[in-house]
Amino acid sequence: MAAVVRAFLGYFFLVFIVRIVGRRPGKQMTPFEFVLIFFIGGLALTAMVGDEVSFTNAICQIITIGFAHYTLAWARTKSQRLARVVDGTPLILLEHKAWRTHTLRHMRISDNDVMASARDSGLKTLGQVDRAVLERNGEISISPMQATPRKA
Amino acid sequence: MATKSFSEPVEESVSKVNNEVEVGEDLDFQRKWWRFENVVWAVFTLIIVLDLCGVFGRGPVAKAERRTADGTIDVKYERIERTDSPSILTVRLGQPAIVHGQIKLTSAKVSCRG
Repeated sequence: MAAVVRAFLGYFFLVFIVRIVGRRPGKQMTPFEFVLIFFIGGLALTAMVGDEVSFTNAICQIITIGFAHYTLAWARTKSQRLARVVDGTPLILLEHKAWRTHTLRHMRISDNDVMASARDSGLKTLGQVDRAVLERNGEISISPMQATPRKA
Repeated sequence: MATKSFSEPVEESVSKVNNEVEVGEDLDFQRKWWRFENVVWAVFTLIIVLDLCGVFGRGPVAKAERRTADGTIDVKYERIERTDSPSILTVRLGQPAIVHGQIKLTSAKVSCRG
């Protein structure tokens, strides 16, 4: 029984840790993120399993984590507030040729990261970027400058 | 019998600025979150420093030693224990502790595993 409670609490603790550590830009994980994921995964295993190494324990804990995940995902859709806490909000990094320096500093993002995403969108210079937004999943989405005025 | 509708009209539920792309940025919330993050990092740092010192066991603060003035008995033990983890108790006995070639060691409560 205690193992199931441990798994439940462990799930929320990991969600919290990952949220605090923050999102890093990029569509793919860099080696940097790999280390974090595997290391946390391995260490969490010690705490979750403890001295109850059994098939029953594994099945029950996996089901518990499934439940915890389902509950959190469901609660997110019910409460806007919770959704903001769990996922964060998209953040504008660059708009109208001006950097949001405060946001960049807090999110530990450099202009190179934004440029990488701009290249990905087929842009050649940062000057062609109308707006760069750090999405909730860590991706940077780029809106290019409009060559002609937009139609209403 | 009326069937439940499975579709709803799309509303502008995500905030947007100047009729441009909807971003849904919430800077007020984000600033609060950054402040919260800073507090959490401070707490994390404190936890690690305390752990290194041994406040949660296995460190300088956790180590304790008691000995009698004449050196008959010298006990090294861990002041702070961890649940379900083994710990080491070292008892060093001097010559005066041996009476008729025997040593008597009594303990109030012993729980042995493994």
